[in-house]
Amino acid sequence: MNTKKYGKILSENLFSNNPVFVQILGICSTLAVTNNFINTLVMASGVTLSTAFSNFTISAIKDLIPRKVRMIVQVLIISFYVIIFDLFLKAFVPQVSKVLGPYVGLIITNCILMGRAEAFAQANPPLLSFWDGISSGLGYMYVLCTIAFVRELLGFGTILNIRVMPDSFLPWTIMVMAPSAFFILGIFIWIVKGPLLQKGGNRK
Amino acid sequence: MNRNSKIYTVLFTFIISFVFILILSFFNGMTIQRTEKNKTLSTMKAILNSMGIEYADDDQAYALFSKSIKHEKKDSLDIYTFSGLSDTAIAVIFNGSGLWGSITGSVAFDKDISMLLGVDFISQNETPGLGGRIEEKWFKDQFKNRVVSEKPLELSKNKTGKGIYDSLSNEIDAVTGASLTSTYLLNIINSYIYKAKKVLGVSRYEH
Repeated sequence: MNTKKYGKILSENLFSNNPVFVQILGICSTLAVTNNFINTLVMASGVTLSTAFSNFTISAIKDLIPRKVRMIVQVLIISFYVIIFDLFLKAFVPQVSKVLGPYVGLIITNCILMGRAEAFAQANPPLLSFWDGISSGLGYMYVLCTIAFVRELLGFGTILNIRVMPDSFLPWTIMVMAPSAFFILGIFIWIVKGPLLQKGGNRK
Repeated sequence: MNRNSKIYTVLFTFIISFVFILILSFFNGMTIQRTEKNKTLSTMKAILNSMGIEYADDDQAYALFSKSIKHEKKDSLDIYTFSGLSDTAIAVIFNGSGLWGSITGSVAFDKDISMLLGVDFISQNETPGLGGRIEEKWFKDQFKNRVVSEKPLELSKNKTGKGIYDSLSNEIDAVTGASLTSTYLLNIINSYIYKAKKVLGVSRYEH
């Protein structure tokens, strides 16, 4: 029964209710960081961890939070974890922190965190909320990584900073710039949502 | 106690902010030493890189820097001098605005500022993948061993995106898609070449 619940949350967050391509949340970072695969991975791990831990904390103290200041407290807790993640990067992997720069701090304003806190953690027990945070983060991660893979390959001719395209390959500058993420995300949604919509149609 | 009363709300908000910020400042205190060390090291490495001095790893960079580089401050310029057996290199820390934020780095010259030895960056907030590519080796290498002439450095008109490595030219190839960052950067470097000449008393261009 319980495992079923966990499985349902996972499949919802990964596919049928994916934060990026179904809820269209967290688009700002989708545009900003996906031109390099490694940066995307670090950024998505930050989002995953922060969502999970802030969900857990919010759920654990939800009965103590006054309704009027609910959102302020959520933002406080989210920023707490994001700043810890940022401090950790600065201290232990300074190169990555240097490249990501302000984007890590901007995880605070990522709509996925606030969305999960408000929609899930406020009404569910801590461990389940933690799992919801992890799976939402993973749902965000694989979509971003797919986009980053395409953008890095066509924009720089590299994968994981290793050159894979032949020397004659001319990099597509547009892939490095933010607008290309719109195209790739659009194509991604088109491919992935087609079957999802069909399934919905059959059910009727 | 009523969870929605004013007093509870104020107290709760105060206590929770206090607790979380306390933990955060504690964590900051734990990592600050490491972070500071990383910062110092990245500055040292940038200065060594700009002078074209090679090192194997962080420890060696640290040792090399502490042993053979002297720091002085003249007219608000941070000047680092390396005295080797046969040559002297001077590095000046530059700082100016890029497209999104300030760009800080080190630009190195030979002892009479007749030759640029190189440029390296300490911090920059340009768009990753666009302006941020000023950190790439092909771009920075363009500044290596350039004769400092009376003409300031400028962006090349024929953009190849491959870099210009002619020591007598004053043209630098811009990062494709980041002409603004490239322009701002050249302005900063030009102004620091001028400042360095002035402060270090190399007056032969002023006659």
